[in-house]
Amino acid sequence: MKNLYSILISEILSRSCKILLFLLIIFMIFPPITFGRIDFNIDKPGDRRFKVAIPDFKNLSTNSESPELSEGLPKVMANDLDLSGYFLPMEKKAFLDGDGPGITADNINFRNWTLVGTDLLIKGAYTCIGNNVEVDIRAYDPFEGKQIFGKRYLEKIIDYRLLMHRAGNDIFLKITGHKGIFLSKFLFDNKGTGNKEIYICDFDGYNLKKITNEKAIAQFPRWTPDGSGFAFTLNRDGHFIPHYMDISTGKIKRLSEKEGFSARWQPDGGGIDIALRDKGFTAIYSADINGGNIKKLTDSRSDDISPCRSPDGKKLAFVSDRSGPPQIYVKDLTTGSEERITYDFKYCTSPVWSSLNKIAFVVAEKGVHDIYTMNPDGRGLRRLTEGDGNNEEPCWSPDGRYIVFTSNRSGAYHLYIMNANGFNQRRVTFFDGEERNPSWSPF
Amino acid sequence: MIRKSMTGLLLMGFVSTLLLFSSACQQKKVEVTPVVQEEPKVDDSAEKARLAAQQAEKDRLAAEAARLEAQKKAAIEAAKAAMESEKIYFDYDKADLSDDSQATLSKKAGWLKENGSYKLKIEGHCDERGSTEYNMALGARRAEAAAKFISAAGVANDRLTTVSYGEEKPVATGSNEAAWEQNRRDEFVLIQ
Repeated sequence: MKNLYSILISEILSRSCKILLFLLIIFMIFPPITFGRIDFNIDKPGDRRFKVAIPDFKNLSTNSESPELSEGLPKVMANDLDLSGYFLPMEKKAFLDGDGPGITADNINFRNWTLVGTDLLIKGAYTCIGNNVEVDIRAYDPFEGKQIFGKRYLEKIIDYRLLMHRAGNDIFLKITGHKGIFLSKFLFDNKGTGNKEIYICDFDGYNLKKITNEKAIAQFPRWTPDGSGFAFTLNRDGHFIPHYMDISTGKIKRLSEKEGFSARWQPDGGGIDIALRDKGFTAIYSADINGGNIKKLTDSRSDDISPCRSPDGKKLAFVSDRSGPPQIYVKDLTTGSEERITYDFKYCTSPVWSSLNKIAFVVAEKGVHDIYTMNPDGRGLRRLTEGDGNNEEPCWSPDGRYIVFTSNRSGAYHLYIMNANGFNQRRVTFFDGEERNPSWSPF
Repeated sequence: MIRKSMTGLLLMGFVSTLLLFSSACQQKKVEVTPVVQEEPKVDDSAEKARLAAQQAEKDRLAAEAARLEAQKKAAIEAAKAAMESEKIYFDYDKADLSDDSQATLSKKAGWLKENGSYKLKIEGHCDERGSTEYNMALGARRAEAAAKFISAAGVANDRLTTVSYGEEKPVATGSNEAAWEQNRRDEFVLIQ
């Protein structure tokens, strides 16, 4: 009996040795992205937020011009990294002051930074020359005491936010291996002037511009996949008509003679899907990018609306009231089969299909709206918002990692962003009126 | 120069004083004696009363006619005003016509048949709840439901147009049932 045990133990030991050896080989071939204590996993936002310290940037300008940038520059980057959901900017009062005057490694007392738990240290210095500012930005791994990133940036002083978004993207890419969202923009509609018009702002809510002047009802902007323009719905005389606007020229073009509600670009940019009203019903059609050559995709003698394609363009999610209150359906455009995918709730609308193959949608229950996600087959239901006002109109970031949505949790409706799993819900716009129907630009 | 104008002024003063005196003298000369002539007396009180009564009756009839005319006009105006002011209301997420709505629409159809020169625009509206996009179609459905009913009551289709404003034009603000039920509606606009 004793013998049998020892055989068994030695067997297990030799097996676990084999497993260890196997894992070692795997790690040698595919090393995970790690910098010091940063073991980054893009699929698990909120699992652990890496502590980032960004002390005030040094002003190297000859006459100390633009002293406000010393705090202003790092503030933009700290906010960007904070909004990403993967980093947590540290409070300045936690910093132990022991670094030299320069921003190079030999000026930094790394032990002071590891003591307060800094995972990532970002240092910067800037020089103003005329209307321009040059910024030297470096990122350090305090545990290894090593510089992991360094770059100089030049920009007009008034565009310093743009410069810092660019630098933030570079650092995010270096650390995570993924493209940052910090240069992306939102289109949305707002009724602040008394009429619904389309506006654009940076992803962090700055740099607001009004881009339509219709003095009617202009709403539902939807970016083209290349970011050159957007489709939107315009109601001048009681009829909602899909239109297109070229962003660089501001020119508007009508996409349909018939009344229509939701024009959305197909993922490859080759055409649009559109819901058109005809003989008392709304059906979904595909069309070319000028709204011509229309082809009927659904025909249910009810209202089919809010079309949106799978990333490969072969399937179509949409809302239909064919079975009573609105529910979400998926049509396989190759086989022609249509399947209802929401059964758990009475009222489901606004489906949006991410590039990572998730569908986000809105559920109305007891007069309250909340955002959920599920797989395209109706499984894997996950509630993202709960107990915080109404949460509506979700739109995925083009990389499928974030959702921008509208919420009235603070009173009026404004734009909020969150990670794909509902983590880090943050308000990003603070404008007059209400921001509705956001669309996330390509980046 | 100065001496000349001084003489002129003195001359003018003298002449105007003369004129004043002469007009005062003339006023004193005028004397009027009033003459009173008496008319012959005739007794015509009966005739006067008859005429007065006749006139009163005429006035009364005219007033009555005017009153009826005004009443008729007011009724026509009221009926026309009701065409636009009387809205119909819907349940949440529904475009079905209630009995009340059908009665209102029947009245509107009757009026349209009597007033052939008018056309009717029907606007469908929704409350703020639910998807904005879905509500644009729901508004269209509500407007079309009313159009279908009026058309079935015998009004030509080409006299009816439907539009939808979705949830974009609420009449009542507020996020409660009292506001929502006022906003789930069809509005009517007459076009001549």
